[in-house]
Amino acid sequence: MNFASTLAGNQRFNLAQAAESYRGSAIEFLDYFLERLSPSPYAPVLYGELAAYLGAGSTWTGTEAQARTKAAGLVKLIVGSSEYQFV
Amino acid sequence: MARLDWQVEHLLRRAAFGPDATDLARFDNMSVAAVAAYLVDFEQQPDDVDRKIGGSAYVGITVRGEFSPNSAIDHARQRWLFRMVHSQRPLQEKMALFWHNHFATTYTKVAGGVGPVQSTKMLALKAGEFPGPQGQIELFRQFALGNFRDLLIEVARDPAMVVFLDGRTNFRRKPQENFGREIMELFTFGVGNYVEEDVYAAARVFTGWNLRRATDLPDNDPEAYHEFFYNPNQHDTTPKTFTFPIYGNGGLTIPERAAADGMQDGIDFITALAGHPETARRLARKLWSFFVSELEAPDPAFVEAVANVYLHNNTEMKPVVRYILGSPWFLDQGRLFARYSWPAEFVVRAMREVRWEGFRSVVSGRPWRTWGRLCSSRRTWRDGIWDRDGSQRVRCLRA
Repeated sequence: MNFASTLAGNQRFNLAQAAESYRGSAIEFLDYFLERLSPSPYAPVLYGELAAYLGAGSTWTGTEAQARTKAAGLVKLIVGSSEYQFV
Repeated sequence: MARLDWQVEHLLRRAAFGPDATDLARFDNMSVAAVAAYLVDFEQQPDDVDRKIGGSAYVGITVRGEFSPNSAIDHARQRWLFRMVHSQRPLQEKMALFWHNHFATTYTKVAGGVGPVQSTKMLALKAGEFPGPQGQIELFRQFALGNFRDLLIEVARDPAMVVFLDGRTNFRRKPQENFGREIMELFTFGVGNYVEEDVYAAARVFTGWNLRRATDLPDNDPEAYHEFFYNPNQHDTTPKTFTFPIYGNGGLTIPERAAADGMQDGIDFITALAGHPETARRLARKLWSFFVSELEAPDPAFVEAVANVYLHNNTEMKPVVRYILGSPWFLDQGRLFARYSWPAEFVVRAMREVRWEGFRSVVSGRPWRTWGRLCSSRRTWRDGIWDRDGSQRVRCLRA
Protein backbone atom coordinates (compact mmCIF):
# COMPACT_ATOMS: atom_id res chain seq x y z
CA MET A 1 0.00 0.00 0.00
CA ASN A 2 1.49 3.33 -0.97
CA PHE A 3 1.73 6.53 1.01
CA ALA A 4 -1.29 8.27 -0.54
CA SER A 5 -3.49 5.25 0.02
CA THR A 6 -2.35 4.81 3.60
CA LEU A 7 -2.81 8.47 4.48
CA ALA A 8 -6.21 8.77 2.82
CA GLY A 9 -7.47 5.55 4.40
CA ASN A 10 -6.24 6.66 7.80
CA GLN A 11 -8.07 9.98 7.49
CA ARG A 12 -11.35 8.74 5.98
CA PHE A 13 -13.45 9.72 9.01
CA ASN A 14 -11.94 13.22 9.17
CA LEU A 15 -12.26 13.68 5.44
CA ALA A 16 -15.91 12.63 5.35
CA GLN A 17 -16.71 14.86 8.31
CA ALA A 18 -14.95 17.85 6.78
CA ALA A 19 -16.91 17.38 3.56
CA GLU A 20 -20.25 17.09 5.32
CA SER A 21 -21.58 20.29 3.79
CA TYR A 22 -20.54 19.24 0.30
CA ARG A 23 -22.33 15.92 -0.12
CA GLY A 24 -25.21 17.32 -2.12
CA SER A 25 -23.77 16.04 -5.36
CA ALA A 26 -20.76 14.13 -6.51
CA ILE A 27 -19.44 17.20 -8.33
CA GLU A 28 -19.79 19.38 -5.23
CA PHE A 29 -17.96 16.70 -3.25
CA LEU A 30 -15.21 16.50 -5.87
CA ASP A 31 -14.77 20.26 -6.11
CA TYR A 32 -14.44 20.52 -2.33
CA PHE A 33 -11.48 18.15 -2.31
CA LEU A 34 -9.86 19.75 -5.33
CA GLU A 35 -10.03 23.12 -3.58
CA ARG A 36 -8.75 21.67 -0.35
CA LEU A 37 -5.82 19.79 -1.88
CA SER A 38 -5.10 22.36 -4.61
CA PRO A 39 -3.39 20.16 -7.22
CA SER A 40 -2.44 21.78 -10.49
CA PRO A 41 -5.54 21.96 -12.72
CA TYR A 42 -6.73 18.68 -14.23
CA ALA A 43 -7.46 18.28 -17.88
CA PRO A 44 -11.23 17.90 -18.46
CA VAL A 45 -10.90 14.21 -19.23
CA LEU A 46 -9.14 13.56 -15.91
CA TYR A 47 -11.65 15.67 -14.02
CA GLY A 48 -14.31 13.53 -15.65
CA GLU A 49 -12.60 10.36 -14.51
CA LEU A 50 -12.51 11.57 -10.92
CA ALA A 51 -16.20 12.40 -11.12
CA ALA A 52 -16.87 8.99 -12.63
CA TYR A 53 -15.08 7.36 -9.71
CA LEU A 54 -17.55 8.96 -7.32
CA GLY A 55 -20.43 7.53 -9.30
CA ALA A 56 -18.92 4.11 -9.80
CA GLY A 57 -20.48 1.11 -8.04
CA SER A 58 -23.61 2.88 -6.91
CA THR A 59 -25.47 6.10 -7.50
CA TRP A 60 -24.25 9.08 -5.49
CA THR A 61 -26.44 9.50 -2.42
CA GLY A 62 -24.07 11.37 -0.12
CA THR A 63 -24.60 9.11 2.88
CA GLU A 64 -22.04 9.08 5.66
CA ALA A 65 -20.87 5.61 4.71
CA GLN A 66 -20.55 6.51 1.04
CA ALA A 67 -18.75 9.72 1.88
CA ARG A 68 -16.17 7.88 3.98
CA THR A 69 -15.45 5.32 1.33
CA LYS A 70 -15.38 7.73 -1.56
CA ALA A 71 -13.48 10.47 0.26
CA ALA A 72 -10.63 8.11 1.03
CA GLY A 73 -10.56 6.76 -2.52
CA LEU A 74 -10.83 10.20 -4.07
CA VAL A 75 -8.06 11.67 -1.94
CA LYS A 76 -5.85 8.72 -2.79
CA LEU A 77 -6.44 9.37 -6.49
CA ILE A 78 -5.73 13.09 -6.17
CA VAL A 79 -2.64 12.79 -3.98
CA GLY A 80 -1.36 9.98 -6.17
CA SER A 81 -1.84 11.93 -9.38
CA SER A 82 0.87 13.67 -11.35
CA GLU A 83 -0.93 16.97 -10.87
CA TYR A 84 -0.43 16.81 -7.11
CA GLN A 85 3.33 16.46 -7.48
CA PHE A 86 3.58 20.00 -8.82
CA VAL A 87 3.84 22.96 -6.47
CA MET B 1 -14.60 25.97 1.87
CA ALA B 2 -12.48 29.04 2.64
CA ARG B 3 -9.76 29.66 0.11
CA LEU B 4 -6.81 31.95 0.32
CA ASP B 5 -5.75 34.41 -2.31
CA TRP B 6 -4.10 32.48 -5.14
CA GLN B 7 -0.82 34.27 -4.58
CA VAL B 8 -0.86 33.37 -0.90
CA GLU B 9 -1.60 29.72 -1.70
CA HIS B 10 1.25 29.73 -4.21
CA LEU B 11 3.56 31.27 -1.63
CA LEU B 12 2.61 28.68 0.98
CA ARG B 13 3.24 25.80 -1.42
CA ARG B 14 6.67 27.11 -2.43
CA ALA B 15 8.02 28.84 0.67
CA ALA B 16 6.26 26.58 3.16
CA PHE B 17 4.75 23.10 2.90
CA GLY B 18 1.25 24.03 1.81
CA PRO B 19 -1.55 25.44 3.96
CA ASP B 20 -3.22 23.47 6.72
CA ALA B 21 -6.53 24.37 8.35
CA THR B 22 -4.81 26.74 10.78
CA ASP B 23 -3.16 28.62 7.95
CA LEU B 24 -6.50 29.13 6.23
CA ALA B 25 -7.63 31.11 9.26
CA ARG B 26 -4.27 32.72 10.05
CA PHE B 27 -3.64 34.10 6.58
CA ASP B 28 -7.21 34.88 5.58
CA ASN B 29 -7.40 38.47 4.29
CA MET B 30 -3.65 38.95 4.59
CA SER B 31 -1.79 40.30 1.58
CA VAL B 32 0.84 38.16 -0.09
CA ALA B 33 3.46 40.65 1.06
CA ALA B 34 2.35 40.30 4.67
CA VAL B 35 2.41 36.50 4.48
CA ALA B 36 5.86 36.60 2.86
CA ALA B 37 7.09 38.79 5.72
CA TYR B 38 5.58 36.33 8.22
CA LEU B 39 7.51 33.48 6.60
CA VAL B 40 10.81 35.30 6.07
CA ASP B 41 10.96 36.94 9.50
CA PHE B 42 10.42 33.57 11.11
CA GLU B 43 12.42 34.37 14.23
CA GLN B 44 9.33 36.30 15.37
CA GLN B 45 7.45 32.99 15.60
CA PRO B 46 8.05 30.61 18.52
CA ASP B 47 10.61 27.87 18.02
CA ASP B 48 8.61 25.39 20.03
CA VAL B 49 7.83 22.65 17.56
CA ASP B 50 9.88 19.93 19.26
CA ARG B 51 7.84 20.29 22.43
CA LYS B 52 4.79 19.12 20.48
CA ILE B 53 6.30 15.74 19.63
CA GLY B 54 4.23 13.01 21.20
CA GLY B 55 1.13 15.19 21.54
CA SER B 56 -2.11 13.56 20.46
CA ALA B 57 -3.05 16.42 18.16
CA TYR B 58 0.02 15.95 15.99
CA VAL B 59 1.60 13.44 13.65
CA GLY B 60 2.60 10.37 15.61
CA ILE B 61 6.12 9.08 16.13
CA THR B 62 6.85 5.36 15.89
CA VAL B 63 9.80 4.09 17.88
CA ARG B 64 10.84 1.06 19.86
CA GLY B 65 11.98 2.19 23.26
CA GLU B 66 12.90 5.78 23.97
CA PHE B 67 12.63 8.40 21.24
CA SER B 68 16.28 9.20 20.45
CA PRO B 69 16.46 11.67 17.56
CA ASN B 70 20.01 12.68 18.46
CA SER B 71 21.47 9.19 18.14
CA ALA B 72 19.14 7.01 16.03
CA ILE B 73 18.76 8.00 12.39
CA ASP B 74 15.16 6.82 11.94
CA HIS B 75 14.17 8.88 14.95
CA ALA B 76 16.07 11.90 13.60
CA ARG B 77 14.22 11.60 10.30
CA GLN B 78 10.89 11.48 12.10
CA ARG B 79 11.80 14.57 14.14
CA TRP B 80 12.63 16.56 11.04
CA LEU B 81 9.47 15.39 9.31
CA PHE B 82 7.48 16.40 12.38
CA ARG B 83 9.08 19.84 12.30
CA MET B 84 8.20 20.29 8.63
CA VAL B 85 4.58 19.37 9.28
CA HIS B 86 4.05 21.39 12.45
CA SER B 87 6.62 24.19 12.68
CA GLN B 88 5.36 27.74 12.91
CA ARG B 89 8.54 28.60 11.01
CA PRO B 90 8.03 26.61 7.81
CA LEU B 91 10.47 28.64 5.72
CA GLN B 92 13.21 27.83 8.20
CA GLU B 93 12.63 24.12 7.62
CA LYS B 94 12.27 24.68 3.89
CA MET B 95 15.60 26.45 3.69
CA ALA B 96 17.20 23.78 5.88
CA LEU B 97 16.00 21.31 3.25
CA PHE B 98 17.47 23.53 0.52
CA TRP B 99 20.87 23.57 2.25
CA HIS B 100 20.60 19.83 2.93
CA ASN B 101 20.36 19.41 -0.82
CA HIS B 102 23.03 21.99 -1.59
CA PHE B 103 25.59 20.51 0.80
CA ALA B 104 24.54 16.92 0.11
CA THR B 105 26.00 14.74 2.87
CA THR B 106 24.95 11.13 3.11
CA TYR B 107 24.28 9.45 6.41
CA THR B 108 25.56 6.15 5.07
CA LYS B 109 29.07 7.33 4.23
CA VAL B 110 29.42 9.16 7.54
CA ALA B 111 28.14 6.08 9.37
CA GLY B 112 30.72 4.02 7.51
CA GLY B 113 33.39 6.21 9.01
CA VAL B 114 32.23 6.75 12.58
CA GLY B 115 29.32 4.35 13.13
CA PRO B 116 25.56 4.92 13.21
CA VAL B 117 25.33 6.72 16.55
CA GLN B 118 28.05 9.26 15.81
CA SER B 119 26.78 9.70 12.25
CA THR B 120 23.32 10.53 13.55
CA LYS B 121 24.79 12.92 16.09
CA MET B 122 26.88 14.63 13.41
CA LEU B 123 23.80 15.11 11.25
CA ALA B 124 21.03 15.73 13.75
CA LEU B 125 22.22 16.50 17.28
CA LYS B 126 20.21 19.32 18.77
CA ALA B 127 22.59 21.49 20.76
CA GLY B 128 22.48 20.82 24.47
CA GLU B 129 20.54 17.56 24.33
CA PHE B 130 23.74 15.48 24.35
CA PRO B 131 27.41 16.43 24.56
CA GLY B 132 28.97 17.50 21.28
CA PRO B 133 28.59 20.06 18.51
CA GLN B 134 25.20 20.56 16.93
CA GLY B 135 24.40 18.35 13.95
CA GLN B 136 24.51 19.47 10.34
CA ILE B 137 20.73 19.77 10.00
CA GLU B 138 20.65 21.99 13.07
CA LEU B 139 23.38 24.08 11.45
CA PHE B 140 21.22 24.45 8.35
CA ARG B 141 18.27 25.47 10.51
CA GLN B 142 20.44 28.02 12.33
CA PHE B 143 21.69 29.49 9.05
CA ALA B 144 18.49 28.95 7.10
CA LEU B 145 18.36 32.59 6.03
CA GLY B 146 21.70 33.58 7.49
CA ASN B 147 24.95 34.67 5.94
CA PHE B 148 26.16 32.31 3.21
CA ARG B 149 29.84 33.02 3.78
CA ASP B 150 29.46 32.25 7.48
CA LEU B 151 27.51 29.10 6.65
CA LEU B 152 30.30 27.97 4.32
CA ILE B 153 32.87 28.41 7.09
CA GLU B 154 30.71 26.39 9.48
CA VAL B 155 30.20 23.68 6.87
CA ALA B 156 33.96 23.45 6.35
CA ARG B 157 34.30 22.80 10.10
CA ASP B 158 31.22 20.60 10.32
CA PRO B 159 32.10 17.10 11.59
CA ALA B 160 29.72 15.33 9.20
CA MET B 161 31.23 17.21 6.25
CA VAL B 162 34.78 16.55 7.42
CA VAL B 163 34.02 12.82 7.48
CA PHE B 164 31.97 12.87 4.27
CA LEU B 165 34.58 14.65 2.16
CA ASP B 166 37.56 12.96 3.78
CA GLY B 167 39.03 15.90 5.66
CA ARG B 168 40.39 13.45 8.19
CA THR B 169 42.99 12.34 5.65
CA ASN B 170 43.94 15.81 4.39
CA PHE B 171 47.57 15.96 5.48
CA ARG B 172 50.39 18.38 4.73
CA ARG B 173 52.44 15.81 2.85
CA LYS B 174 49.45 14.27 1.07
CA PRO B 175 46.63 16.76 0.53
CA GLN B 176 43.16 15.26 0.06
CA GLU B 177 41.27 17.03 -2.73
CA ASN B 178 37.65 16.12 -2.07
CA PHE B 179 36.56 19.11 -0.02
CA GLY B 180 38.71 21.56 -1.95
CA ARG B 181 37.10 20.39 -5.18
CA GLU B 182 33.53 20.22 -3.94
CA ILE B 183 33.53 23.62 -2.29
CA MET B 184 34.18 25.09 -5.72
CA GLU B 185 32.24 22.66 -7.90
CA LEU B 186 29.13 22.10 -5.77
CA PHE B 187 28.98 24.63 -2.96
CA THR B 188 29.97 27.88 -4.67
CA PHE B 189 30.66 29.03 -8.24
CA GLY B 190 30.61 25.68 -10.03
CA VAL B 191 32.39 24.06 -12.95
CA GLY B 192 33.95 26.41 -15.47
CA ASN B 193 35.25 28.91 -12.97
CA TYR B 194 38.33 27.04 -11.77
CA VAL B 195 41.02 24.74 -13.11
CA GLU B 196 42.66 21.62 -11.73
CA GLU B 197 45.52 23.62 -10.23
CA ASP B 198 42.97 25.49 -8.13
CA VAL B 199 41.77 22.17 -6.72
CA TYR B 200 45.30 21.27 -5.65
CA ALA B 201 45.74 24.69 -4.02
CA ALA B 202 42.36 24.46 -2.30
CA ALA B 203 43.23 21.05 -0.87
CA ARG B 204 46.37 22.57 0.66
CA VAL B 205 44.32 25.42 2.12
CA PHE B 206 42.36 22.93 4.21
CA THR B 207 45.23 20.70 5.32
CA GLY B 208 44.99 20.21 9.07
CA TRP B 209 41.21 20.82 9.22
CA ASN B 210 40.38 17.60 11.01
CA LEU B 211 38.38 16.00 13.82
CA ARG B 212 39.38 14.59 17.17
CA ARG B 213 37.65 12.39 19.67
CA ALA B 214 36.56 14.49 22.59
CA THR B 215 35.96 11.57 24.94
CA ASP B 216 37.38 8.11 25.61
CA LEU B 217 33.96 6.55 25.16
CA PRO B 218 33.24 4.16 22.27
CA ASP B 219 31.48 5.57 19.22
CA ASN B 220 28.28 3.65 19.97
CA ASP B 221 27.88 5.60 23.22
CA PRO B 222 25.63 8.67 22.72
CA GLU B 223 27.75 10.57 25.22
CA ALA B 224 30.80 10.21 22.99
CA TYR B 225 31.47 12.80 20.32
CA HIS B 226 33.97 14.09 17.80
CA GLU B 227 34.74 17.77 17.37
CA PHE B 228 36.47 19.94 14.82
CA PHE B 229 40.18 20.28 15.41
CA TYR B 230 42.70 22.39 13.52
CA ASN B 231 46.01 20.58 13.59
CA PRO B 232 48.76 23.12 12.83
CA ASN B 233 51.30 20.34 12.46
CA GLN B 234 49.45 19.06 9.42
CA HIS B 235 48.88 22.42 7.76
CA ASP B 236 50.77 23.33 4.61
CA THR B 237 52.09 26.82 5.34
CA THR B 238 53.43 27.58 1.87
CA PRO B 239 51.70 30.15 -0.39
CA LYS B 240 48.67 29.03 -2.42
CA THR B 241 48.01 30.70 -5.75
CA PHE B 242 44.69 30.57 -7.58
CA THR B 243 43.49 31.58 -11.02
CA PHE B 244 40.78 33.85 -9.53
CA PRO B 245 41.09 36.70 -7.03
CA ILE B 246 41.26 35.84 -3.37
CA TYR B 247 41.57 39.38 -2.07
CA GLY B 248 39.80 42.61 -2.82
CA ASN B 249 42.92 44.07 -4.37
CA GLY B 250 42.88 41.31 -6.98
CA GLY B 251 45.58 39.28 -5.26
CA LEU B 252 45.63 35.65 -6.40
CA THR B 253 47.89 34.26 -3.67
CA ILE B 254 47.21 33.33 -0.07
CA PRO B 255 50.52 34.21 1.58
CA GLU B 256 52.74 31.97 3.64
CA ARG B 257 51.62 31.98 7.26
CA ALA B 258 52.79 30.47 10.48
CA ALA B 259 51.15 27.10 11.06
CA ALA B 260 49.35 28.43 14.13
CA ASP B 261 47.60 31.01 11.94
CA GLY B 262 46.88 28.60 9.11
CA MET B 263 43.11 28.50 9.52
CA GLN B 264 43.06 32.00 8.13
CA ASP B 265 43.93 30.46 4.74
CA GLY B 266 40.57 28.72 4.70
CA ILE B 267 38.69 31.78 5.87
CA ASP B 268 40.29 33.93 3.18
CA PHE B 269 39.53 31.31 0.55
CA ILE B 270 35.91 30.84 1.62
CA THR B 271 35.38 34.60 1.80
CA ALA B 272 36.65 34.89 -1.77
CA LEU B 273 34.40 32.09 -3.00
CA ALA B 274 31.30 33.37 -1.21
CA GLY B 275 31.79 36.87 -2.59
CA HIS B 276 32.57 35.78 -6.15
CA PRO B 277 30.01 37.07 -8.68
CA GLU B 278 29.66 33.60 -10.22
CA THR B 279 28.76 32.15 -6.81
CA ALA B 280 26.06 34.79 -6.58
CA ARG B 281 24.74 33.81 -10.01
CA ARG B 282 24.89 30.08 -9.30
CA LEU B 283 22.95 30.51 -6.06
CA ALA B 284 20.45 32.65 -7.96
CA ARG B 285 19.97 29.88 -10.52
CA LYS B 286 19.46 27.28 -7.79
CA LEU B 287 16.97 29.53 -6.05
CA TRP B 288 15.14 30.00 -9.35
CA SER B 289 14.66 26.24 -9.55
CA PHE B 290 13.70 26.02 -5.88
CA PHE B 291 11.24 28.89 -5.73
CA VAL B 292 10.25 29.96 -9.23
CA SER B 293 10.28 27.26 -11.90
CA GLU B 294 11.83 24.00 -12.92
CA LEU B 295 10.05 24.02 -16.25
CA GLU B 296 12.06 26.83 -17.80
CA ALA B 297 15.64 28.00 -17.63
CA PRO B 298 16.39 30.85 -15.23
CA ASP B 299 15.59 34.27 -16.64
CA PRO B 300 18.95 36.08 -17.00
CA ALA B 301 17.35 39.24 -15.60
CA PHE B 302 16.30 37.31 -12.50
CA VAL B 303 19.80 35.87 -12.06
CA GLU B 304 21.43 39.28 -12.27
CA ALA B 305 18.88 40.91 -9.97
CA VAL B 306 19.18 38.22 -7.31
CA ALA B 307 22.96 38.11 -7.59
CA ASN B 308 23.06 41.86 -7.03
CA VAL B 309 20.89 41.60 -3.92
CA TYR B 310 23.19 38.88 -2.59
CA LEU B 311 26.41 40.79 -3.26
CA HIS B 312 25.11 44.14 -2.05
CA ASN B 313 24.00 42.53 1.20
CA ASN B 314 27.35 40.95 1.98
CA THR B 315 26.17 37.38 1.19
CA GLU B 316 23.18 37.57 3.53
CA MET B 317 20.42 35.20 2.40
CA LYS B 318 17.42 36.79 4.07
CA PRO B 319 17.31 39.82 1.74
CA VAL B 320 17.77 37.46 -1.19
CA VAL B 321 14.82 35.24 -0.33
CA ARG B 322 12.68 38.23 0.65
CA TYR B 323 13.40 39.75 -2.76
CA ILE B 324 12.57 36.55 -4.62
CA LEU B 325 9.24 36.00 -2.87
CA GLY B 326 8.13 39.50 -3.75
CA SER B 327 9.48 39.50 -7.27
CA PRO B 328 7.38 39.50 -10.42
CA TRP B 329 9.04 36.24 -11.47
CA PHE B 330 7.78 34.47 -8.36
CA LEU B 331 4.30 35.99 -8.48
CA ASP B 332 3.77 35.35 -12.18
CA GLN B 333 0.51 33.43 -12.56
CA GLY B 334 2.05 31.59 -15.49
CA ARG B 335 4.50 29.95 -13.10
CA LEU B 336 1.96 28.37 -10.79
CA PHE B 337 2.66 24.64 -10.43
CA ALA B 338 5.90 25.01 -12.36
CA ARG B 339 7.97 23.02 -9.91
CA TYR B 340 8.05 19.36 -8.92
CA SER B 341 7.79 18.56 -5.23
CA TRP B 342 10.79 16.96 -3.63
CA PRO B 343 9.78 13.77 -1.80
CA ALA B 344 9.94 15.39 1.62
CA GLU B 345 7.82 18.31 0.41
CA PHE B 346 5.34 15.93 -1.16
CA VAL B 347 4.60 13.89 1.94
CA VAL B 348 4.58 16.90 4.27
CA ARG B 349 2.21 18.86 2.05
CA ALA B 350 -0.07 15.83 1.75
CA MET B 351 -0.22 15.41 5.50
CA ARG B 352 -0.92 19.11 6.02
CA GLU B 353 -3.67 19.22 3.41
CA VAL B 354 -5.26 15.83 4.04
CA ARG B 355 -4.72 16.01 7.86
CA TRP B 356 -2.72 13.86 10.15
CA GLU B 357 -4.64 12.99 13.32
CA GLY B 358 -3.77 9.46 14.27
CA PHE B 359 -1.32 9.16 11.39
CA ARG B 360 2.18 8.00 12.11
CA SER B 361 5.06 9.67 10.38
CA VAL B 362 6.99 6.43 10.02
CA VAL B 363 4.59 5.40 7.24
CA SER B 364 5.69 8.35 5.16
CA GLY B 365 9.32 7.90 6.09
CA ARG B 366 9.95 5.04 3.73
CA PRO B 367 10.98 7.21 0.78
CA TRP B 368 13.87 8.70 2.68
CA ARG B 369 14.68 5.69 4.85
CA THR B 370 15.76 3.86 1.73
CA TRP B 371 17.73 6.78 0.35
CA GLY B 372 21.15 7.95 1.28
CA ARG B 373 20.55 11.28 2.93
CA LEU B 374 18.70 12.17 6.09
CA CYS B 375 15.66 13.38 4.22
CA SER B 376 15.90 12.94 0.50
CA SER B 377 15.44 16.32 -1.06
CA ARG B 378 15.90 15.36 -4.67
CA ARG B 379 13.82 13.47 -7.13
CA THR B 380 14.06 12.50 -10.70
CA TRP B 381 11.04 12.67 -12.89
CA ARG B 382 10.40 10.44 -15.84
CA ASP B 383 7.09 9.84 -17.51
CA GLY B 384 5.16 11.37 -14.67
CA ILE B 385 6.55 9.32 -11.81
CA TRP B 386 9.47 9.57 -9.48
CA ASP B 387 12.31 7.23 -10.20
CA ARG B 388 12.49 4.06 -8.21
CA ASP B 389 14.35 4.18 -4.92
CA GLY B 390 17.41 2.49 -6.33
CA SER B 391 17.94 5.11 -9.01
CA GLN B 392 17.33 7.86 -6.50
CA ARG B 393 19.87 6.40 -4.15
CA VAL B 394 22.51 6.31 -6.82
CA ARG B 395 21.77 9.91 -7.64
CA CYS B 396 22.07 10.98 -4.01
CA LEU B 397 25.32 9.18 -3.46
CA ARG B 398 26.76 10.74 -6.57
CA ALA B 399 25.83 14.21 -5.43
